[in-house]
Amino acid sequence: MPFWIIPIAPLIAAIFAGVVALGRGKGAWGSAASLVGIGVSFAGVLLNRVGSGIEGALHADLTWLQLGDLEFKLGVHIDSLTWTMLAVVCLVSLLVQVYSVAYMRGEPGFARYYAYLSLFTASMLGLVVANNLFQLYVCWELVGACSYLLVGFWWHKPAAASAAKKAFVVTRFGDVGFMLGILLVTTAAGSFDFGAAHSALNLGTNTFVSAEVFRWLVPLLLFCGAVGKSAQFPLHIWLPDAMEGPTPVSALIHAATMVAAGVYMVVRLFALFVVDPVVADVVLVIGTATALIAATIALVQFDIKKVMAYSTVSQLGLMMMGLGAVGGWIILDRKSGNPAEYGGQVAAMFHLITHAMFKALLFLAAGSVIHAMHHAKDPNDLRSMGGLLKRMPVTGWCCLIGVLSLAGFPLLSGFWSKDALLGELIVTGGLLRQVCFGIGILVAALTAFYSMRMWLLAFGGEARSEDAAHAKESPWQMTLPLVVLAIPSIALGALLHSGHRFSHWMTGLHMDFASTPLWIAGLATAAGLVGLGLALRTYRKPYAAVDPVLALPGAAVFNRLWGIESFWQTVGARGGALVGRTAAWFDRHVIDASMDGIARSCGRLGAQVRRQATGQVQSAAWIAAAGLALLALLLAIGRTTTAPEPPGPSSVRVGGIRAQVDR
Amino acid sequence: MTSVAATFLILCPMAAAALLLLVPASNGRLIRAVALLGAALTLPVSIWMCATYDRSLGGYQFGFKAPWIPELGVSFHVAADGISVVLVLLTSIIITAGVFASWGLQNRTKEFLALLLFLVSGVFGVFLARDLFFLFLFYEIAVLPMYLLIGVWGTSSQGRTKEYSAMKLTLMLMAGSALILVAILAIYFQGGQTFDMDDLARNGVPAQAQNLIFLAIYVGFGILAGIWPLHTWSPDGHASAPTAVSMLHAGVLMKLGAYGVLRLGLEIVPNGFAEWSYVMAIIATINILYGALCAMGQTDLKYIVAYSSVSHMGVVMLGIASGNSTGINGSVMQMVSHGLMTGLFFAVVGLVYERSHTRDVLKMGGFAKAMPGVAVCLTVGGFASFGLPATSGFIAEFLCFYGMWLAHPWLALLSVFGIVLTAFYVLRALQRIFLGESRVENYPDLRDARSTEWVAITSLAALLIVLGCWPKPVVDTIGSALPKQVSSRSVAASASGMSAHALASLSSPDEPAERIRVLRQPVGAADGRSGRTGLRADAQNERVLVK
Repeated sequence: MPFWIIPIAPLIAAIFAGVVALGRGKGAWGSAASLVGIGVSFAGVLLNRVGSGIEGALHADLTWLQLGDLEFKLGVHIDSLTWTMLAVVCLVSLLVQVYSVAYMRGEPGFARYYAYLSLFTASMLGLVVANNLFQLYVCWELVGACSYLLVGFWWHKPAAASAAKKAFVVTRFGDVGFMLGILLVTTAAGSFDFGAAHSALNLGTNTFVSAEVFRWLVPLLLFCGAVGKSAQFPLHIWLPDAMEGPTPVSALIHAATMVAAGVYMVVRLFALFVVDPVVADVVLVIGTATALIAATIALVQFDIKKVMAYSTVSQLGLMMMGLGAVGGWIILDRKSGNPAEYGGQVAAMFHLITHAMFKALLFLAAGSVIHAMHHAKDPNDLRSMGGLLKRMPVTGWCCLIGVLSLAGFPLLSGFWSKDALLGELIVTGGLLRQVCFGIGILVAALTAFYSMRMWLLAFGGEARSEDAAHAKESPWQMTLPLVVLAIPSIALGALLHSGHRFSHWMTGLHMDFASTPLWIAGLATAAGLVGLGLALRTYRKPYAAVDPVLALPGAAVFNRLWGIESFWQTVGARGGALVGRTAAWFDRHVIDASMDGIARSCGRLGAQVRRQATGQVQSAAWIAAAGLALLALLLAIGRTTTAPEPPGPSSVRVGGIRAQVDR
Repeated sequence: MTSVAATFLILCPMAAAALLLLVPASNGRLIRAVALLGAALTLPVSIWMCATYDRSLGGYQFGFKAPWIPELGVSFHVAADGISVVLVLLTSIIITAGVFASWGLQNRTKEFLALLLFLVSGVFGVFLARDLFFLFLFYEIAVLPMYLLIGVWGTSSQGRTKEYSAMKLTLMLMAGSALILVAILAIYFQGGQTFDMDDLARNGVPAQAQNLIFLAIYVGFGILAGIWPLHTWSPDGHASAPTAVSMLHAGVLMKLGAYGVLRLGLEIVPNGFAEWSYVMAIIATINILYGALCAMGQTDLKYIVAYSSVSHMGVVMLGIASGNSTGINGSVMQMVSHGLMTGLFFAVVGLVYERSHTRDVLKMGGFAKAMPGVAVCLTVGGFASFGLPATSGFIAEFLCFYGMWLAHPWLALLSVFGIVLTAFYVLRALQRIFLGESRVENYPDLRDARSTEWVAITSLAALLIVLGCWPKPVVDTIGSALPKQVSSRSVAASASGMSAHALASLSSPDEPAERIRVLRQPVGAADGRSGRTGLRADAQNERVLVK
């Protein structure tokens, strides 16, 4: 099977499903086409194996557009990194599409839903296989548009409509930086190729900023895109709102794939990010801030999807921390001068994969719960759940596996990847990284606490509402993906970690990434276990009136989302509206009014001049005489001027008059 | 066929307009048929021109020249290059869609359609003329009927009567015409007493006169292109105009302004163009941001679209001001893209207004329930508007920004923020009209588009996507016009700035040395002039810059 079919198949499926949707055809056709599309892609991924590192990489491209020497290419590049990401995207996408068959059954826009989903998958696969910055940007924007369409899928819900808009506009804010970064580096490099960008960065010539600034400006501008897409502080505010979309969409886009695109992009362009050490520090600080802030907010949420959303933000922050960890220890390849020793990005990719598995699992489990609770007033509210483990055992046990994996319970997938990430920070060393390591440990404890709290509130104890008491297990299309995802959530970490298999596969180098000291593993595990234990102790029995987390110091701050949301509301939304209204007022009452003023003064001048035309012969004769004198004067001046016309306003007019006179 | 095609395009709508005057006003069906014929017949011809235009040859083709007033050097000379054929095709599409969109008009249909067709023949004339005399004549034909079209068939809104809007639009555009006339006369006398643009381009206008001539051209044509702060005719005018007129005016007529600056500026007064390019770029940047901000502050649907046109025409002017082939290619592409997009916008706004009798977005909501097809089309247009990939807006804006980045990076940096502002107001408008709580119950007449309206809006939306996915034919056609025009007279204002930095970073001596040497050449050597804008880059230089 040709490898370029991987992003094409879902695209064709999307077009087919789109036609079905527009023609009001039977929804089943749309879902069938979609499933076939992703099936073909998955098969394509499995059949086209590549070697480790860049060994045996598959490559194909075509020129989409050419302007002079500037080529706009669309292509497919598959090396071990791409292959890994492709496998993750295809697996989650396939499972989510199977799951949606049951979850979205009976929806009026069933075919439309599958058209969007397939379009998203195609764009995401296009992003993953991109071999140049142009294609990366194109697909980057397209996944954002698909996210807009899918978050706003239930467009008649006002909350969903505004959440979709917010998600798009906020990420676009980051995308401006991304676009500027691409413009900056490609105008210097004269090509969109990743390799050309890298050499341009090292040469630092041909730009309007100095070479030193160029070295950190380009990666930081590109990182802006990742901040938007991967919901990093301070642009993380869109992701919790995006939970208004259907839950399978949240699992696919807002947990496993699209939001991870920012991390993937940084890994893909890692060579650019290590040219100047400052860049890694910025990435590290942003990642750490995101991880901590989101984890604290997740503590006090009562909406099952919001807990998960903030958890996702926090985990993405953790991945960014791993990417930022690298700063101190880059070993340059003797021959090419490129950084050859990798650590942080391998750990980040490792966590990306395991996170995709257990977070997709958690979201799909949450979807299963919401599906069962759909008669409730607010089916997402943890306070009205409870005791669901008895009613829906498969969902409950699978969800527990996801929770434990997320909490870093020993030997589960999350345990290995989280240790690897935190280990990077200590191996690299330096005060900044040690502080961030400390925060990372804290985040691990918080994560364990809030995830266990969520599970206990939903599945433990007794039912707290009628709906929870009568909840039913979901159909097999929904539970099967849970079981399938539970397997990698348990075992994938150990599998990839043993014998440093993953780092060898990713880098193609037989060097070990961060051989984590044992005490780090111990510390992180202890933090996780403490969090789990605290949650168990607090929520094993039903709490009295108020959830104990709300009594925590700082809970008020967490509950108000650290004021970041209201800051953006004030500055972004309200400020933007104010500036818009001011501009509109200014345009009408200043600029337009002055145009009207000019028109009116012309009118007034006309009225004045008209008054001169009195009809009296005497005054007419005076004016005629004055005019004659003026003409004579002008002619006299014109004759004496023999020098060449000076450039300026008069040259045109005088030249014109003279030309006539000469004739 | 080759030589009559251009003349046919100009005369066909005009003949249809004349024919319409002979049809009795009571025979509505015949009137519409004749009008549609006059508009739609141009479509196959302009498609044929685009298809047979020889891109490898480039330059002006389909030429036809007949003496008119030999004593004054006036001749009826028409021809088309890559830019013209593309814009001519755009005009055919928009006028055909416009006739479809005004199918339901009941008030003095005959006169309305006759004026509309008359106006369009002027537009074709400007895009095809190779003689300044005729260019000006056609320009006036294209601009003047607007007064009647808005004054008679328009609607009053926001405390502004349609007569006021029509008068303001006409007066401001006439002021521009006066400047254009002065410029054309100056070119005539300075350029060897001929109106023929081929001769003028060959002979050239004395360098010292070019500055002022170009300023007159820029302001004169620029008013029609909506340059800040002379754009204020546009919101009121577009808001008051009936649907088809708004479509045509924002979709095609505003392009005449940009086209005039591009054509006369680059071909006849390139030095003046180079001298003013920095100012043009600044004003274009203001246009982009200011137009978008004003659009954010509007609640009247037509005003939102009108201010978005001001913003998008800023992108067109930005590409032109870059002065390099990438930017100019993007600029013409943006003309096409914006023409289709804004045609679609005004068609849809007309539909919504006709059925809901309101243009206030605050009073709308959930309309997608009653008009799903219209919602889909407007969403596609909205996506094109903020430059989403896979719509034509993306590649157009990207090329404009790229070109400007090569010329003045700081201005490109500022103007890129326009894409966020645009996304904000477009998505807000979409949300307010189509999504959220349904208020369909308040509007009993609300229903999806009908037969002819379908043709108009779906074909425009489809074109936006097709061009976005496969822009190659259009971009290549535009590009075939550029090497001769631009590379040889490229502004290359960036050359001095870039080489300064290139010198500063001589740290790695082996590879970039070659490049720096090439870049340094124009600084002193160009044509004896120094400073920011006196540089003339040759073809080789342009290539290096792009590299």
